Amino acid sequence: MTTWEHGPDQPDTTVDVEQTFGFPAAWRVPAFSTGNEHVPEVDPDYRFNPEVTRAVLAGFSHNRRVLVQGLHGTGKSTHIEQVAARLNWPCLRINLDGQLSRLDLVGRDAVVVQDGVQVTQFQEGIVPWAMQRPVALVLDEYDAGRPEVMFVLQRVLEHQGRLTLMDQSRVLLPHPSFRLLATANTVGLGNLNGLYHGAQRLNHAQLDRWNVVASLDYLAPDEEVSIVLARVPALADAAGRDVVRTMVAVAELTRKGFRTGDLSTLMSPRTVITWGENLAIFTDLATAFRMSFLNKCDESERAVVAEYFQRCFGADLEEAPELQAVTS
Amino acid sequence: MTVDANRHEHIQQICAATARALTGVPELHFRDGVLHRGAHAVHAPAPHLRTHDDHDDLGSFRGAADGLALRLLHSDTATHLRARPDDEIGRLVFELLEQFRVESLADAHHAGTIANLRHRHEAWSAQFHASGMTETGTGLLLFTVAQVGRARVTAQPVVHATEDVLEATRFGLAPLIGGDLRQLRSLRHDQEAYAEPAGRIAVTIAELAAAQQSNGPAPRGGGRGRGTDWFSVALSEHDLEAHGSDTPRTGGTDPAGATPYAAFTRAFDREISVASLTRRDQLVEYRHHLDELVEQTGVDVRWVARLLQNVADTTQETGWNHAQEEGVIDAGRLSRLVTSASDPRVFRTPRHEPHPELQVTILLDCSGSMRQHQERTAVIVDLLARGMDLAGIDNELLGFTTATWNGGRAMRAWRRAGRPPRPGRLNERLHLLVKDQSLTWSKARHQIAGLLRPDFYREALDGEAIEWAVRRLQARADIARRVLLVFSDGSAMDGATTQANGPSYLDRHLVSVLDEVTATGAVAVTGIGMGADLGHHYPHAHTVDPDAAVDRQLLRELVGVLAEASHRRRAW
Repeated sequence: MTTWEHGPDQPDTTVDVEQTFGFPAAWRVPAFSTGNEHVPEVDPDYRFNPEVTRAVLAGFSHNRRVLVQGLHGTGKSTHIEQVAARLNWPCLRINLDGQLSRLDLVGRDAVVVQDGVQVTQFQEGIVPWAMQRPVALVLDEYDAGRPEVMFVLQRVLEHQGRLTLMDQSRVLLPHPSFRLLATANTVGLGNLNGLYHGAQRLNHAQLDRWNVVASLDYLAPDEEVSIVLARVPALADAAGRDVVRTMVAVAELTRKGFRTGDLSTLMSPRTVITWGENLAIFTDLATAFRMSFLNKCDESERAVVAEYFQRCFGADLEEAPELQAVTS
Repeated sequence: MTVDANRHEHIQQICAATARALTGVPELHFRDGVLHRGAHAVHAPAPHLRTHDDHDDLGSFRGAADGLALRLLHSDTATHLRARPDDEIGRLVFELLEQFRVESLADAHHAGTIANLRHRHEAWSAQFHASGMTETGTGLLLFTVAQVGRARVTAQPVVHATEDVLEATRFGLAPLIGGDLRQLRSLRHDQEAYAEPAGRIAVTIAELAAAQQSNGPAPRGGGRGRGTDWFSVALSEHDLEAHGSDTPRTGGTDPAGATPYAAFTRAFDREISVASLTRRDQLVEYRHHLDELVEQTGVDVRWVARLLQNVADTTQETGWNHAQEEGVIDAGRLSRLVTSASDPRVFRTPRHEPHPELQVTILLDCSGSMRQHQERTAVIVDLLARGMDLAGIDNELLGFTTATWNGGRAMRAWRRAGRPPRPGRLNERLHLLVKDQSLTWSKARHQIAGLLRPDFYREALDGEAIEWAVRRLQARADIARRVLLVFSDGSAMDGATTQANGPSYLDRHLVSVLDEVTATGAVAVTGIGMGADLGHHYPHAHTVDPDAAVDRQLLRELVGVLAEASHRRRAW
């Protein structure tokens, strides 16, 4: 087994959940006392969702395979990253896009130049590399990976599952502090609502191997307001708070509109933050809204979004029907 | 006129979309100005929720739609109906107070909604006052309760313009209902508790009104109780559907009642291609004429095809691009590393190509009244069908009419059978295959020209035709997006059937077929009205100006309608 180059090889301390993550819990979780370059940076303003955090912490402390599911922009990956950051646990994110091949994960014979001549040489993939180190491997967009590729992970997903590198005739035993987590937009049923183009159906034998599946839905409005205010300090007075709360109300309507099928896109908390930031730049609420969200919408849906805006702010955007009687 | 119809349709669509977002109920939509949840009307009889196309402004439409959404969100119909008084005026007052309650529960962060509701209330108050109904005793009484009640529940001031009118009545009512009124606001979060004082107010007002009507002469103006009449029209019209969440929408009252749709006989029904009904040389002549008409439009069919392509295309992985500089290693090219070591193109990447993913059926109403539009519709569908062929979109043209006027053999068979009551549809149904899905435009072009034949245009059995078109559409290859465009100029019409079954028999069937198709969501149906607003029957309708020339503008408009239908992801 390769030893870890920097920092301790095993968790050597514990942290108090309540103190670190800001929600009541009576347990302590293992952590590293020092970090290294793979430990993500701590975002002091980050607010944890208790349920998802519990799931992720269970993954870290009890070596469970955790899958976090939720719509985009809900902060699934950031959630895992921020937990890892506070535990000083090295963390590696990879994006399972549709082009990722089995060889990328396991390793491949790559063409390299040696002494001016091209030769093929085996290069270890990301999975064997991470397995041998105390690293939390986060598979982003888990449902975008091609199904046949995902079967490489089948063995690794099992507790203490070994990985056989056939090209190398080697069997890898996972490092005791290796963790595997994933995020997905769907729960493996494919792209039913048309929002996640490229999402694949997952094999249920594989979905079954995830020990903990946590769902991160949108936050309670007040929590979302706090997140936005933390990111956009310019709005952090009483009047600003009110504006942000109304912005969140618009976002909520777009989410419901998405669910009822009126919109093909929705405002994530990330969009609300962008809106807040753009508001600081453009100073005009409607302009900032247009730049941050409205222009991303399909032209045919803008009138509906304009109505949502009107309902919340009581002001009309240009997209609204002219303010006059229906028959002139 | 069409501009207004389409504008009004647009406003209804976006107001319904907002109601869906506010409530989270996906089946909400407006039909005939009434909010429906699926096939059923939403129970909300408060008079200010009724809007009229001709004298209400955008703010009023918004306010009414928001009020309806809040009603759905915060009021339980069963609880409400249980507590509602029985007599007309009491019921009306109770409805109003319940509506004010839900309006007061609007989210404080929806400032626009609150403003819309207020706007609607003000507009309605002004209309009521202007109509002279506040000059009758009962009218003034109801008006005062509406004003004071809303002010109490929502903690907003009464409408300033009418404040003086109210003063005396308000003062008189204070000792009778003042205590109950004061309780309303604090109880507004609890529907059942709120119903107690609201019910007492309703009963008190009903008694006062009854006393007024029996002994007091009307102050001035036309007759007693005009106010109630006006109110109750709005009330009872809705009340037919009130119990509502489970009564299907009907096309009006009808002696046949809820008789299910049936045909008296199907022995004479035919489904036949236009070509086999028309002589070849005649078709050639029609085609010649149609070609001239198409040429006169100056519309380039390749331009139409490009527009349609944008609507239909999705990308599809069709294979690999070989000899790429990056991507996945292409085993077949590895020998290149030896043969030409300086050429690194040994990779391959997936190839994505546009692919039309859409099936369209155009269904033409060939009723007598459509004959005046026959040249225009023939030109339009000819251009669309040819464009769809060029764009690779699977398409079909169908028509529906009857083989005879006045029932023909079906009618005679019914007479011979001794005229049994409620015979169902009485005519020889004729379904026309204008361009079968398996035919290309060039093979079907003579048949399409057959649409110019004047004697095809007789009566129309819309409901059955839509069922037929949907069935054919679903029998075709499995494609995710299916669209049915119906060109029509009004409702179903067949003299014999109507005479024997009552006036709304065919309409009711059309509506129930559309509801059924819409509810399954398998096929997106849009009605295209040739100078007629089809919004009364079709959940999605568009009106075309029958006098405008067929030009790029019109084609773009129609392709837009097709695009909307093909991207529609919700059923209603």
